[in-house]
Amino acid sequence: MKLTHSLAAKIAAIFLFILLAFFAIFCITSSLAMMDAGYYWSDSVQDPNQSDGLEISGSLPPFFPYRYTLPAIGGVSLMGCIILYLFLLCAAGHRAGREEAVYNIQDRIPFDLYVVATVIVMATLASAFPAWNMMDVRAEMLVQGLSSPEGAVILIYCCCITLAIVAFLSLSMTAATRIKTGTFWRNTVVYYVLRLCWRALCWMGRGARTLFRNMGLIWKAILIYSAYALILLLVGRETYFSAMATLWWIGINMTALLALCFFMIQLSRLQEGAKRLAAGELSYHVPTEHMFFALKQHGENLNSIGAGMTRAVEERIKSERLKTELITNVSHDIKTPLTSILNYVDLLKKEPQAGETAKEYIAVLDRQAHRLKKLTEDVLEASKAATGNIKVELAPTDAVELLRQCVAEYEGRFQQAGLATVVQAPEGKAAILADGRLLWRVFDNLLGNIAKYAQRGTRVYAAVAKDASDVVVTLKNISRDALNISEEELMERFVRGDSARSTEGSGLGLSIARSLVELQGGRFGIAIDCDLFKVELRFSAIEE
Amino acid sequence: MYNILICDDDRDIVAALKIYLTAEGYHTFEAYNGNDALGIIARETIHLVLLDVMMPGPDGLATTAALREKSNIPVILLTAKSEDTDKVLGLSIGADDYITKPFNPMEVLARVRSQLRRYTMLGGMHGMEKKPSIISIDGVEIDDEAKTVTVDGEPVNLTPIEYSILKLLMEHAGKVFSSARIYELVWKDPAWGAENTVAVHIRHIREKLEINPAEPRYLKVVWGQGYKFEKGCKGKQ
Repeated sequence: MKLTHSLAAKIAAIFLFILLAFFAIFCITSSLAMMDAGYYWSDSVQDPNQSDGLEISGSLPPFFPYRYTLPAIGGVSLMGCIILYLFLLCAAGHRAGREEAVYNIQDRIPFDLYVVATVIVMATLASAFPAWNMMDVRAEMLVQGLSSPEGAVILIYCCCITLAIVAFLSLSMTAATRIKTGTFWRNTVVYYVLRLCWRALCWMGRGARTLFRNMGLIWKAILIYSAYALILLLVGRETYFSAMATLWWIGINMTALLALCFFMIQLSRLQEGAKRLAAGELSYHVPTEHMFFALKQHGENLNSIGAGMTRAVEERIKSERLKTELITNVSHDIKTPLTSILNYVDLLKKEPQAGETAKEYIAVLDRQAHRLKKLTEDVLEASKAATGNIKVELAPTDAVELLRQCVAEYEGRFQQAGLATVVQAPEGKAAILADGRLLWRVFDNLLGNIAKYAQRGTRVYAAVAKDASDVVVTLKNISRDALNISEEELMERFVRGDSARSTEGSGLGLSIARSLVELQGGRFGIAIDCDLFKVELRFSAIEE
Repeated sequence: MYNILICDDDRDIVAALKIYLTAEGYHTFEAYNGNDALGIIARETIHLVLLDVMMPGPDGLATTAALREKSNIPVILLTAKSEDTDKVLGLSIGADDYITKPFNPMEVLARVRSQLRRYTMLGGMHGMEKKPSIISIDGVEIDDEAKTVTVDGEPVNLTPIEYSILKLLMEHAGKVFSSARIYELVWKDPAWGAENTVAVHIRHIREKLEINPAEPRYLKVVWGQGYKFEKGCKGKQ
C-alpha cells in the first residue's frame, strides 16, 4: 500500500505538522525577540556563567544559554513542516483501495465559501491577539519564564499562529483534492450562480425561439419591421424630426409595413402550397389570382409541378395495373389449353394398350403438366400479392386457433412425409388483426414447403408466443438438404433452397407468403441456422 | 340415362369431357357457344348443363341468366377465373356449382353426380313429410334416430365423434364454434390443450362429406375463429 493512501500516515503527519509548526513558531519568535533585545551581538550582554564582564540591564530569560540552538531547532522544524505540508498535499483526497482521488466531507463545501471561511478564521485569530506583529514580542516577556502571565501571552500567540497555519493547511489540502479530481471550478458558489443564470438565459432563448417559430409569417414581418422602425426612431429622434416630418415618417413606414404584410401573405400561400406538394397532396392548387410578378410565376410553377407529378404517378399506377392485368390474362389464357392437356394425359393414362415406355412418358407428361398448373397459379397469386391487388378484410383473429387449424389441415401430409408436429401455444387466445383466409394461404405455403423440404423423421415445431406488444408465430423444421443459401436469396422470387434437386414447387411460396403477411400489416422473417429453417411472423397484439 | 349438355368454345375440352361422361353412362350433347346451347336446351330434354364462362358471343353468365328464365335444370360453370367475386357472381346469377380450370376430371364427375341426385331424386322428395329427428341443410341430412348421414342421398360413414361434431354444427348452422368450444360440447370435458384433435376430426369429416375437401361447401373453416356449417351456400334452395 502506498503511504499517501494510508489514513494512519495522514493523521500522524497532521499531528506532527501541528507540533512542528508550533515548535518552529515558538523558536523563531523567541530567537527574534532575543535578537531584538541584542543578546546576540551586544557587548553588554554576556553569558552569566562565564561572567566575563557582563553588563546586564535586567535578568536574563531562561533560554538564554540556548540562544544559538533555538534558531537551529526552529529552522529544522520549519523544514519538517514544509516536507509534511508537501506530503499532505500529495496525500490529500487519496484513500485506501481507490486509485483516483475522491472527495471528503470538507471537499463538498463550495470552494469560494471555504476560502472566505478560512479568511474569517484567520482574521478572528488576528483580532483575538492584537500583538500580531512578531516584533511586538519583547525579550522582557521571556525573562519572567513561560509560566508567568507574560510568558503565557507568548504561548497563546504561538498557538494562534499555529491555528492559522492549520487552517491554511486544510485549505491547501482541499484545493489539492479538487484539482486532482479535475472539478476545481464546479464546486463553487460562483459557478452555481453562473450556471443558473446561463440556464435561465438558455430557457428564455428557447422560449423566444419557439414563440418566433410558431408565429405566422405576417406577425414575424410586423415584429421585425416594428423593431427596425423603433431603432430608427430612437437613433434619429433628436437630429432632424420636426412635427411634420414625424407625420411623414409614420405615413411612409405604415405604407411600407402594409406592402410587406401583403407580400408576406402571398409568400405564406406559396409556402403552404409547397408544403402540401411535399407531403404528397398533388392535387393542391396554389391560388395565384391576386399575386403579382415573380410570386405569381412561382405559384404557377408550383402548380405545374403538382400537375406533372400527378401525371407521373398516374402513369406509374397505370403501368403497374397493366402489368398485373397482363399476368392475370396470360395465366387465364394458359389455363384453358392446360385443362385439355391434363384431361388428355389423364385419358392416356387409362388407355389399356399403351406400352411400358409409353406409360413412363405419360407419367412425365402428367407430372410436368401438374407442375405447370401449380406454377401458373403461383405466378398469378404472387403478382396479385406483390401489387397489393388483393382484398384484405382485417378482423380480430385468434392466432392459436388458426395455427391449430392449419396444422390439422397438414396432419395427413406430414404423416406421409414422416414428420411429427409439436404445437406450442399459450393458454387462451392470442388475438391479432388479420385476414384469416389470407393467413391460411400464408400457412398453406409455409407448411407445404415443410412437407416438401423437411428431413424425414424429424419434428416440426409450430409455436405461438406473446411478446411485449406482438404475437409471434414461428415455424421451425430441419431441412433435408443443406441450406447453403442466404435468407435474402431464399426470399427472392423463383429461388428454391434445393437448387435443382427437386422439380416440385415454383420457388414463389416464400415470396407470396411474405407479400401476404405484409399486406396484413405483419412482419415476415426467416432465419437459417445450418439445417434449421425458421420462419417468424409478427403481428401486433390487440385486446379482445 | 341422363342427358348432359357440354358447352365450351374449346373443342378439345368438350371432347375430353364427353369421353369422361360417356364412360360414366351419361348421354351428352355438345355446344360451342351460348346460343347453340340455348337452342339445344329448347329442343332436347337436358338434365344438366356444364357451361364455360368465357365464350365468344353470349358468355356463360348471360347464357345462365337466359336459361333461368325458362328452366331450373342444374348448371355447373367452368371457368379459368378463380377469384371469389367471380364465383359469387356466377352463383348469384343462378348457377348451381362452379369448377375452376384446370379441373380434375374426377371432381367434375363427382359434382355432376351430386347435382343430378339433387335435381332428380331430392327434387321429388320435397313433398315427403320429414321426421322431427332429421336435420337437413342444403342436401346434407342427418337422422338422429338412425344415426345416419347422407349427402345428396348418398350415405356417408362417420365415427361417433365425427357424427357428434357434425350434429352440433348442423343444429347451429351458420354459427362459428372455436375448437375449444367444440371440444367442451362434444367431449363434455374442459379443453386443456386437447383442441388439436378437434381440427383433425373436422378435416376427416370434410374429407368424407365434401367433393373437394380443399374447397369445402358445407363444413367451412373460419380461419382463426373456428368452424361452421354453411347455411344456404348454394345459389338456390
